[in-house]
Amino acid sequence: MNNIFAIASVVIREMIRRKDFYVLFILTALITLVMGSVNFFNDGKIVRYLKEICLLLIWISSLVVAIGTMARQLPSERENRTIFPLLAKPVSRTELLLGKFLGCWLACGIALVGFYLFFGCVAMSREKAWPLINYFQAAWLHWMMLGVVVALAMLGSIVFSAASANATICFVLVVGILLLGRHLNKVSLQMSEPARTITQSIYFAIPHLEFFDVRDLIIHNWPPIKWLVCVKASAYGMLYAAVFLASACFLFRRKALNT
Amino acid sequence: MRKYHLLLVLLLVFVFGLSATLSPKFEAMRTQRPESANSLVTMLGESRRLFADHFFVKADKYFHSGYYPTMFDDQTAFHTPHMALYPNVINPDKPAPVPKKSWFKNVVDVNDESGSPGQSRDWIDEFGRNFYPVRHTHLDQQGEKGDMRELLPWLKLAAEMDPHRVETYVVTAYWLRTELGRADEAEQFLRDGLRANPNNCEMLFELGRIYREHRHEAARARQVWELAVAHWHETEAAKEEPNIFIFAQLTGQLATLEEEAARYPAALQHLQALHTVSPNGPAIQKWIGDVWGKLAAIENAHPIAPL
Repeated sequence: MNNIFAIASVVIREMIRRKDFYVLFILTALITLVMGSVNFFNDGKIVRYLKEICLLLIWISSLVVAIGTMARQLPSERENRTIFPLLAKPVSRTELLLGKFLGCWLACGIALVGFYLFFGCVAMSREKAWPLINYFQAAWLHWMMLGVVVALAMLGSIVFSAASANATICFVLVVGILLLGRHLNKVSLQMSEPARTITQSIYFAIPHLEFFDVRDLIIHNWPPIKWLVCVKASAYGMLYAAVFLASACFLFRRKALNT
Repeated sequence: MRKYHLLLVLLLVFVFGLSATLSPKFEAMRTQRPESANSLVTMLGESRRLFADHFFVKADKYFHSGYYPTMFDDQTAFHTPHMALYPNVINPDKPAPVPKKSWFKNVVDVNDESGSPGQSRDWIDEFGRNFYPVRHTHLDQQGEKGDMRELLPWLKLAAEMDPHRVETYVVTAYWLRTELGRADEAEQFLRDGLRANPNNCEMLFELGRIYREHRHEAARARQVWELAVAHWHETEAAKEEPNIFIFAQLTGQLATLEEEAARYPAALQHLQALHTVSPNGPAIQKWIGDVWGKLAAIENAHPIAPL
């Protein structure tokens, strides 16, 4: 367990050193503030459009941080040949992967705290309210979703040789699931066999990342989600993350590192 | 070294020639589209109408606090934006347009008017409903006072993207003056719309309502509505399917205005015009009878002396 935490802390320190997060945060803040400065009919209390834009930017930025950080972990270790001295120490391949996963996931969590604090400040400046429970649920579910994405990117970094290919495919998959995942079953009803069965199988097999997207509830000030639903969604996310991690560990143990 | 200098001069000559060629063309394009001063609008070209539609629908989604059917759901209940029904922009009696291609005809309606999200199809659909709005509400009824302001950014953007979309101006002006008490901004916005769509009947009707209901200037309201009626006769009357809905509203409002001012002959004139187009003939006939009665009472009280 110590090995896993040691590797995770290295990954977090790497993210702190790199400029990706800072650039994305500044961009998010800048665009949000510019949009907030636009005058609509001399009404300074309009906030929902600002919340929508800010949350969209947070989601994009967090996906870039999660996939970008995870996708380059193993390829860069292989390219720099630092993976060999690392594995020569009493660190198993599984521990290495778990450490990398935990590091990336925690790093995403740290980034999310910054993003959601900024979001809360922006919303409060106009709404004069701080619905902490709603924001906590939104950030928590977002983090759970990133766990699945990080695990998926980790599996991709073992399957695909190039980090760029992995990152691109992960982005396409995640955005595709977020946009279409909920509707695949409806679309399949209009199809003929065997396309219908294939689409329905995909619908039931994919991780439904849209479960973790509560932006509409936050933007329009709906009441918080029931805690039990939150727990179920978290368990659902962890299950998929575990499946991807287990697959990654299984493939990594059989993979030759010098190729 | 000299070769590079020559190359540099050559490039400069080429750039100068290119700019001299393109500059008059851009100038001509600018004069052809005088309203597109906004660089974003110029860049988007005709596709801006699509964006305008999108932003208008976005405003309607905000009107429903995020509850809205996606392109994969049955949208028949939302064929007219609900936020536009209040300002009488769209005739609620007009039959719904039937989609040419019903992609999802077998899909159970998840967004019906009753407000229930319908039957879930599977556990994923059922569980997923916890994470997005599934209750049909309207912001002006269920929201807090002043919440209607949240629609404004999208409506303003829609108007900037397509200045010829009349509904955007009328809907925005209606909510500005009624829910938000901003009659000045509503008038200014309508005037912007009238600059892009001169003498538009719907916008003139809404402008008249501002004068009548908020400024209490009946004379100006009458002028504006009479202008709208005159313009309706010029542009709409000859059409195969004229916009009778707005004509009925204009004549109805004018008749009320004249009746309140005790100008019964003028009121009767507008009521006769209204009677020809209104589907509610008996009610209008009764109204005409009432006005005739008032006119007769005045004539009886002050009989005209024989010459």
